[in-house]
Amino acid sequence: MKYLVLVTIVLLTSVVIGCNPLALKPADFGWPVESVLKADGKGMVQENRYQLSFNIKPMLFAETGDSSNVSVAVRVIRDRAGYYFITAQGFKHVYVFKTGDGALTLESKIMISEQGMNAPAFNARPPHVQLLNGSDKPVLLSKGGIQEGGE
Amino acid sequence: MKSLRFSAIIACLLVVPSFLASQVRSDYEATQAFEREADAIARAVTDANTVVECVDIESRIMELDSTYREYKDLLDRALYPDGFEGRLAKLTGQITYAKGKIMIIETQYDRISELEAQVRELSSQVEQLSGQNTKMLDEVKRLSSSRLLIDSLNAVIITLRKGLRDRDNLIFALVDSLFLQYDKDVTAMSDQEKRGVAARLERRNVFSGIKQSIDDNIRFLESTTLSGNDLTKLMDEQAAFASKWNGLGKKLAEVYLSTKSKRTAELATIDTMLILWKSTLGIFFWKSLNDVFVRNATPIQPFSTPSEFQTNINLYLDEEIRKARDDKDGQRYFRYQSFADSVWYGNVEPNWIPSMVKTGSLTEAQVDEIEDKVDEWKEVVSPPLTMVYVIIALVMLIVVLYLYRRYSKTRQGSVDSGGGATAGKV
Repeated sequence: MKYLVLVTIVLLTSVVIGCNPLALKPADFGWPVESVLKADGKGMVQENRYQLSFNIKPMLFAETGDSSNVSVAVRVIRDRAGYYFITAQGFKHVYVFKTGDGALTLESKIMISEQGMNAPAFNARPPHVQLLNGSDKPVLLSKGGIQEGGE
Repeated sequence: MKSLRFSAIIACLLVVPSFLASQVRSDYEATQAFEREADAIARAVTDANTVVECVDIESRIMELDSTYREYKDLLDRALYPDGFEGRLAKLTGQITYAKGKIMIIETQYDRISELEAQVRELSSQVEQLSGQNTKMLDEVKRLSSSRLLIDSLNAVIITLRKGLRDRDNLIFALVDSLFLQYDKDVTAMSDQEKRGVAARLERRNVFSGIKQSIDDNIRFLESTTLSGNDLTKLMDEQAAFASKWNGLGKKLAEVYLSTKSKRTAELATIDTMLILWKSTLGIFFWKSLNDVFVRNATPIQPFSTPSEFQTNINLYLDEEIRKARDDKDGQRYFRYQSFADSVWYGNVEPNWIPSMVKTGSLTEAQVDEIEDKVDEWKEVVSPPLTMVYVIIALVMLIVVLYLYRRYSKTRQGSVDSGGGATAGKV
């Protein structure tokens, strides 16, 4: 019986290992500096260095309930894990996206200020992302929210 | 008091963190600020026109380096692909290149300014000398009519010759200076540069200056009587002038070819004037040499070429030698002496023959032939040396005999008178 359990465990472990997808580790997706991107009339923003483009209208609608005014400069940074942190002046939240099938899909939405941020800016502070907002105390963010120990 | 101190500490604790927090700078802002300053410096490099501006820009690059070195790690990552050092190196390279280029331009500008000033100076000197030369040419004409003022005339001629020579040199120096400003061969010049040269040549009256030079030189020849050696020097000067013109003429032809100016025709006119100057020199050379013989009443047939000169002088000498042999008149030696002292050895041989030999008009052998004839003439008209010695010996013998005879007579007389007195006493 004892041997049967052992063989079963070994077989199950082999099956689990065999089914795991191939992963290249470690990988660093972090951007050294945030990008400030202005949307065109259709709400599309384009990041030239990393060849990234997406539409901000759904996010604007989610934040303000209005996606018609696209004259917003969004600030984008990617952390080491590959999540995109996006916000803009006047936003109450920082939006965390991950890459999906031809889309950025929302991972989390971090509340920062009820009044909306005056001058948000991201700094890369691996493994986190630092958020500045004018003279407010900087905070460290991860995909899960605000971390302790912000500088 | 205690509560006041406590309040102050609390206030500090509240203010200092927020002050510190306000000092936290966005990486994006730091990167953007660096990029803005680097772009501004790059634009300044493009716009820089002087070395001083370049030095200012170098200072800005150094300041950029020192200000943003603390962000080096960030900028190395943010500024893809150059990085911090790469961007600074690019700026430094740009300013070094620009400075080198500007320095060359400034050096050339200085040289062009210097040459332009030289051209202005030369141009005014040419004008001044032209005025003086014209006055002196008139003075020479006036003084030539009065033989009493020969010293003044000579002084004016010397000054005038120097003036003409200086003006000739100046005008070519002026043209050289004009071309030097472009620092390249005419064939390599653009049409615009050629038009620039043409305009400068016009502004400095180069064409009229060259023509004036040739005219004045010809007028000078017509106003004076010069020796062969002087004329030879003038021939050398004419040859030097023509040589310079040949070099310049080609350049000017290149310049005016593209501008389709009427000046192209004037190039040919100057060529013709130079030929006239040369032929005038030749004419005056032979005329002046003919005059030497005429002034001394030496009946030589007129000549106007080297071969005519050689033929006619040989004919004259042959004739004189023949006459000296055939006619034993007393004038034959004096005719020789007049020719030899006043014409040949006194003037033609030292003042004319060297220049003819130098210019190739006469060969050494031809000169020797003439000299031989002069010597032969001398031998014919001079008594032979043995005869002279015999005559001298005879004269001396006659003198000795005469003196001996007188002595003998005197002695005989005194003996006779002494003998008579003795006889009387006895």
